[in-house]
Amino acid sequence: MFRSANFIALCLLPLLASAQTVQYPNIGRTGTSQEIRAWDIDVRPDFKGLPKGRGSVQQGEVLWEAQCASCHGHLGESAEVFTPIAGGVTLDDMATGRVRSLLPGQNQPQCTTLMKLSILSTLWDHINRAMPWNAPKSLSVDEVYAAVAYTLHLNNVLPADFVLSDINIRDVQARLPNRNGMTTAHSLWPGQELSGKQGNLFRPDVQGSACMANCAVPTMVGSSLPDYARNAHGNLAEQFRTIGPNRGAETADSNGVGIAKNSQNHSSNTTPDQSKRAQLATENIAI
Amino acid sequence: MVLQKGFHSITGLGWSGPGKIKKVDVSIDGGRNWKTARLESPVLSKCLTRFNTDFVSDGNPVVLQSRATDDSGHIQPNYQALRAVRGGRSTYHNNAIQSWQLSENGEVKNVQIG
Repeated sequence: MFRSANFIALCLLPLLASAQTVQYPNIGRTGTSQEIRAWDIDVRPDFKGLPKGRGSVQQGEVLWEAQCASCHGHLGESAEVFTPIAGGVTLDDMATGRVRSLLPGQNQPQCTTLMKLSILSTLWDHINRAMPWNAPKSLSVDEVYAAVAYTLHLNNVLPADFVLSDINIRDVQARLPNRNGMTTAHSLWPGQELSGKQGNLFRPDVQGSACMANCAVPTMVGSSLPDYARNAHGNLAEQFRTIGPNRGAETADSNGVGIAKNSQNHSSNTTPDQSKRAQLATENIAI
Repeated sequence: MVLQKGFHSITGLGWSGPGKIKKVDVSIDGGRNWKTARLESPVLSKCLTRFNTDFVSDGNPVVLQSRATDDSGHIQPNYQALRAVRGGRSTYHNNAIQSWQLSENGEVKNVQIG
């Protein structure tokens, strides 16, 4: 029996090696042209896929106040939950196409959308497919143009009387404050900077260690969720299912006030004192 | 989460942009010693790949980590290595090894080592 099992395993190996070309029978079907057209809404950096249309800054302001401001703020400041849309860029940045506050050595406290945005089609595409959050894909083409125009106006990229359209969107791209800020020198989108010696084999910007035993690594717990934030998502004990081996930790009392079950292991200070750091108690564990 | 003493299957998902997950190592002592986990099929390029390994909790505190390696030779870095290259204010593209502390009372929580 073991012999035949081995035999089957050996036969399967060549199949597994080419698993990506294997068809899975009875799973899925070919999409219809209508279905594919409905999915195919992406707008590319060269604006391929951009629908014809137009929308003004003024129309965008009305739309913004009705559907965007509740999350993103009246001025794009997004005071509470989300990161800010506007801010952090200057007229100088618009001239150079590189946002100065993103450069090394600057002390900008927070990145905004318009600080980072290097390709305008990304903003158009994102609003078109994902906004507003409670009703994505509900905006008309012209409304998306208007929302993009007003978003750019919030940072003075466009004047208040501007009308954005598929005709002039390339000119607006040429005004983006961070249009020259795109980099592929990172491992999630490796470009020439990270290409390896063997063809397309890429070299990551940070390489981990292959060490398997007695590795030289820090041994202190440097930071963890502070006690007062434990109930940020309510009492986890009430949110875990009660079957199976695992339970949620008691993170709040009956009044919803955060409680600490093992306060000896974390500091209530967000910048833990070195002397209070908990030594990993793993030296006693035989590996 | 609260873990009881005894056997647990540690499982998770590995992913790499350049290619297939080649192996995943798991540490229960904060990254000092590692054991290679099993990969569950299918293992496909640029696809989430589930791994699992055995763990028996004897009630002592441990710090759990997992470390993926892909078929281009890229090994998932720890936070110290990541910060040495990208600095302390880099948040996007953070692929550093995460640490999960299992306390004496069985509670598991996300912590940072070092």
